[in-house]
Amino acid sequence: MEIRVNDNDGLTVFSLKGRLDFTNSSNLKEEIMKSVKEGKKQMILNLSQVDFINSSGLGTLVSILKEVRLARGRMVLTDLASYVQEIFEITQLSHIFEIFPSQSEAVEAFATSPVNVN
Amino acid sequence: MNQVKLSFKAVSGDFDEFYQSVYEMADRLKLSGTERFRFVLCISEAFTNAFVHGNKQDPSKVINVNFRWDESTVQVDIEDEGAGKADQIDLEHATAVAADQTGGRGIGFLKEYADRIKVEPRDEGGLRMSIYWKLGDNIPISGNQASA
Repeated sequence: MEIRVNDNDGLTVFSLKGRLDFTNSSNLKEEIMKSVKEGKKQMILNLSQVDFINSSGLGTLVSILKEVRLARGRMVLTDLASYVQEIFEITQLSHIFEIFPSQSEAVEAFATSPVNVN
Repeated sequence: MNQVKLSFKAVSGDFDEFYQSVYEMADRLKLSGTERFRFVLCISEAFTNAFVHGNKQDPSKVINVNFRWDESTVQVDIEDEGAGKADQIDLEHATAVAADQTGGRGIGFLKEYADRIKVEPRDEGGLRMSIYWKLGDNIPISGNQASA
């Protein structure tokens, strides 16, 4: 999995590319928690180029979300492929994560409501 | 019936080779889009289960992945060399919904997306998980029948 990180006006955008599963999800958690420790707690995970995710990847995202919220941060997901969106619906994780159709809509949401709305 | 038999050493680095094989099989079956994703997801869940819970990540143990297919059906058997018992996998109560838990969804995906799944002990030791789909309609047809 490739992880690209961009800081922009207090928002950290993680653009993920590839597969999110048992073999690589711990790298993602390390990368995000590093940012949280640096005080960057407002973040967007852009999944537009994630072509595969399984229960291990989902479990890692849940684990990261819990830690981000524990640190009083906010993490949202954007640009999910339709089949990735589907497994968020089936697992009902769509009720736990904030999911936006596009990164620009997520940025707007942070501007209007900087705190977690869930 | 066509058949491809593959074996993978249970180390993390072999997952790339495993995924490549599954995607090649999806291509042979002419799966695309959502069908392709669901097919790979189910096999990935069974493989990860065999690696983590079956072989306990023991690098000396092997996972066998056997594909069998014809014009109307496909069956994938995933075999581990662990000490697990078939009744330790609770197919009946497995669900993909696990609230905010970090685990417990994998078998639920199999129930959701495969037409039938079966878990049985191997004569050589370890477990065999068999996943079945009917081809032609959309893979998969939910509302499957699980058996252990």
